[in-house]
Amino acid sequence: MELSDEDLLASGSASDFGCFYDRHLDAVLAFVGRRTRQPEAIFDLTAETFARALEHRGQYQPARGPAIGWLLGIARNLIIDSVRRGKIEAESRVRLGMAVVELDDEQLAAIAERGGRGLRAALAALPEEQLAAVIRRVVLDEPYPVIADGLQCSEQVVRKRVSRGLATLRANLGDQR
Amino acid sequence: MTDPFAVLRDELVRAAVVREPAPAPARPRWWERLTGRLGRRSHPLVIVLGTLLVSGSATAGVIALTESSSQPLAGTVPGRVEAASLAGYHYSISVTPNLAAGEAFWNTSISYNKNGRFGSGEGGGSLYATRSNPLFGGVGVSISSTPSRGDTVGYVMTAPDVLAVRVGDRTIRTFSSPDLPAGDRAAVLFLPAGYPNLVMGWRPGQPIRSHETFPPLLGHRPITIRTIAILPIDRNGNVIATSQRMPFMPFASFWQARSAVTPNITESPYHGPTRPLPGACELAQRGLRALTPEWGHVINVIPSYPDAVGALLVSCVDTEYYLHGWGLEAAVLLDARRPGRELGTLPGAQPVAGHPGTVNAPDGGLTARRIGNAWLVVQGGSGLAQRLQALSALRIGKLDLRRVSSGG
Repeated sequence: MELSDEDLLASGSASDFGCFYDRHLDAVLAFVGRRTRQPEAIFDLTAETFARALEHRGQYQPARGPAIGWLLGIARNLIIDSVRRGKIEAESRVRLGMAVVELDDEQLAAIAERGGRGLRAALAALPEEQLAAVIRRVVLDEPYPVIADGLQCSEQVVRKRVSRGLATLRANLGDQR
Repeated sequence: MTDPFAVLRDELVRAAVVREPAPAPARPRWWERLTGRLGRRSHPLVIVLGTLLVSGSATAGVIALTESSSQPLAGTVPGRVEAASLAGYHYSISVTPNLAAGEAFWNTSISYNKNGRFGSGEGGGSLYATRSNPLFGGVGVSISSTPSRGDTVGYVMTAPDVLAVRVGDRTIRTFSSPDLPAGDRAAVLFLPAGYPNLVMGWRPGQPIRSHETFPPLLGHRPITIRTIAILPIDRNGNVIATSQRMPFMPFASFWQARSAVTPNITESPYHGPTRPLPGACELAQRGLRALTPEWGHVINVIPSYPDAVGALLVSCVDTEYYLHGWGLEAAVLLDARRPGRELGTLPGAQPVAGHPGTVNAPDGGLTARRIGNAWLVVQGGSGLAQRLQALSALRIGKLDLRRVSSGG
């Protein structure tokens, strides 16, 4: 049986964290790739996101939402910090003693290609009404009643659109969860 | 071509191996008999009993055995004065609210100085007290905090129901103070050179004394740091089981003015919003043209944190302003448990003469004006006069309390 994200993070096992990385790498790459096109920055932000998740995996709280939301929250904060401070933090990677990965041109091109696809393409494939509901609920964190009011439909309809939209996104991003 | 993300995976797994939990120490036979008899379904009871056994006793008598008073939030580090030591330095511990929109933390820090010369300083973590996590702020394991500087100071903030903390064979009574979040308490203790690092988050069954190994870094050998758990004690002398959690952080949209300094990282030019998007809270400005908004965050939903047991404030908007070359961060703070319905005090804040409703917390470099059940806060700048100048030009442009979420 496939372990849940909660189990993978709670076990403390290195191989379980590797599985967690495999499961969510594409989503993090797509999220980061939407905000910067520089392959070095995409790689650094992705690496620091997972390093920070590794350091704080014991603090993930399932009741507050799915692990992917927690992970993207870490990525979002790193992106904001990088803009504010003018550099991409490497604190967690340093504390963990992770080696600096030197990237050649071929690897940089591959990262740029991989970071540019995924979420953008998956979002573009969503029907317009699902796209609006997903963005307002997941990205802007608006409550269902507020979205329903804005879209002039019932709360149940919004919930259904978000649910269907997320299911489509998961399928398109290859999320196995 | 080697896949860089496969290399990254290898690095992460290698780092995770180093941090894999050590095998549990062999337990005495009475432990097995006890846990076997109680069975798995009695887990909470096992935890409570285990806690009492590890702590040595179950009653208030434990505190009385070796109890001592806490050191104050500010004082002088004792010990032999030598080159690498902080002995003789004045230390000062401060607690300030986090101003980032959507986030509700207390930022704690300690600074050391001697004869006006800044010695060093250290952030102590950013959390708040809950029933399951009654210790916050203060101490933690990191390479930078290895105990190599001679005598130093350890501290921890606690929930209101923590009457003492235990560190090894020392039990230190906590205290409340107007310089702490209302209701919360603190314990401060002097640590001799070479003392293990204090760590929070101890759970029943874990060793009190342990160690953490950091892998080789920049050609150096691995670093192993001895650690000792700091345990919260309730009014009956019992150890309170803890579980550290990372607080929930809602999405906050970032904006940056065109005039703001462009980050000098290898990143595409900034193409995001150059003004704050409409949000649940908004700041507005009247006059003082030299005060320029540079960047900030807005949120659409104001999170509430009903699990907080001490005072807690949540920011619903933040903006970094520049004024004559100084940076000032402005924010609107609400009570985090009941946003908009009540409002607590700011730690260490005193009324400012001649400015009704305005308070100043000098340690945090923070000045605030109360507007209904909200604090309009300005932090940083050249000093109190400049913060008052900025506050006089700022107001809360919008505060939509219909957008308060029911839980954090």
